[in-house]
Amino acid sequence: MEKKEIEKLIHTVRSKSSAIREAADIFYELDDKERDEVVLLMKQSAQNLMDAIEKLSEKIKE
Amino acid sequence: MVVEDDALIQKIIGKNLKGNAVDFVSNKDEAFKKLDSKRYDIAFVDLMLGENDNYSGLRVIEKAKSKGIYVVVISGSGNSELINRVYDLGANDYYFKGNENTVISDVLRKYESYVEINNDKEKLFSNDFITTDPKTQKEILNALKFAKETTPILILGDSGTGKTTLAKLIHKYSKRKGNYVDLNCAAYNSELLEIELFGHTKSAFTGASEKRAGKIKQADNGTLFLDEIGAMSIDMQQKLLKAIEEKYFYPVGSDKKEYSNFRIISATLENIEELVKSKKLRKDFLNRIDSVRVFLPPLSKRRDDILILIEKFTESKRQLSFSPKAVDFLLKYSWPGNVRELKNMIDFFILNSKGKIDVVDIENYIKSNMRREQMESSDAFLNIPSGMGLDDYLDDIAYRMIKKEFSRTNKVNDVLKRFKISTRRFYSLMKKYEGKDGEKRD
Repeated sequence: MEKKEIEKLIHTVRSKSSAIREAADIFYELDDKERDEVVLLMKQSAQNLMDAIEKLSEKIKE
Repeated sequence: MVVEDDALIQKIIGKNLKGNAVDFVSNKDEAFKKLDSKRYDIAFVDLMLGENDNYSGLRVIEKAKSKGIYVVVISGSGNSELINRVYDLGANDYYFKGNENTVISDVLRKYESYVEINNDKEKLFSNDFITTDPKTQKEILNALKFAKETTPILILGDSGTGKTTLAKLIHKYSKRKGNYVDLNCAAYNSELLEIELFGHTKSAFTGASEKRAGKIKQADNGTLFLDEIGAMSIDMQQKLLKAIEEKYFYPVGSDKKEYSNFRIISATLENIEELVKSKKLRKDFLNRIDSVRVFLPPLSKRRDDILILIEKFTESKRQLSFSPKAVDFLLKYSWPGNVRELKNMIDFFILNSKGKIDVVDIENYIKSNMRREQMESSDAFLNIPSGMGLDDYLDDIAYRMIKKEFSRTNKVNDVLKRFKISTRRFYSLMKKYEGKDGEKRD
């Protein structure tokens, strides 16, 4: 298992999960239009996060 | 400019920067184009720009710094090697992702200080803290970067290197509304230090005729500068640690909480790691006061400053003329007392010389100064707590000396002989401090 690859996956996990949390923190400060945009971006980030975790899981099995 | 490949994080940063003109870019090439065409104040830079990117954010930092931009890294990566690289490239700050909502306001506040200090830079180093030494300037700028924060700062450096001057500067740039209050911990024993720090109630001890606020209360909404922190007893460190963490304390003789919102700056000339090792400094106390560490180099390590300092010390005063050999001596001398020693010497020559200074004058000054310092080194006890009269203070010292000797010998006669005092004096002190009326002790 390449250390650098793992490092990059961990980076993605950290970055996406913290972004979702931070977005949740400002959710009430947003207007309706912004909320729609942010929710969409949160979904995308959640998908990226899931993909990174899946890859991490595959790397462990290798 | 925000250089960030994640659209959600762009959105969060953008929300926190509302009211400012912001450009968002998601990769290195776009960032380079923007940097070439527009002038920015701050660049927020992520390091990994894209899934398989090899930290191209580093190149963006380099480019932004070459344009004189204030660069802040917000990254999900963070090994020490990468952090070092980022700072080596000149980035002003490095934060981990995940706290953007608080980080952005911190950054804007720090940037405000940065601009203010940079505008004042020339005056700062030619007037407030005179130095041309890049290392010393860097340390001072690093400390001032945190001026507006409440972060505790620990200043290390030999005696006379400017620790107090720096503490006052930090307070000045902090814009805190309260007072700057300083205290030299080495000047007091543990009991007196407690009184000075926490204050006391009326009748808290013999001679306390009225309530008095301590330094902590005096520094409410201001800055408390504690010099020679290593001289503080372990017990006092624990009490102060509690006051720093809780923001309340109890004055001596009181069970009523008092509150103070003080910012702490501490200093020591001792080796801080040695103090912890020898158990003179509590590790938890050090951790609390050591959020930002600044080291002020001795004058012997910044010799280019010597002649500039002399010029400053004689400004608008009587001018002195140093022979070439005297100048050579000044530049090579070790200056154990650092800038303070140099200033004292110049002040002495302004008042006491014929104006023309040779090596022999400097040597004579150094010799007589050393003798005076030896005599003065035991003068710490001369600091009487405010509110206490001289008679009570001397009685207090006499009582403590007697008590210590008595607990060692357990014989009154030995104590009387040792200190050459009368039986009457002995028992009057015992009555004053222990309320015992002439009780036989032998």
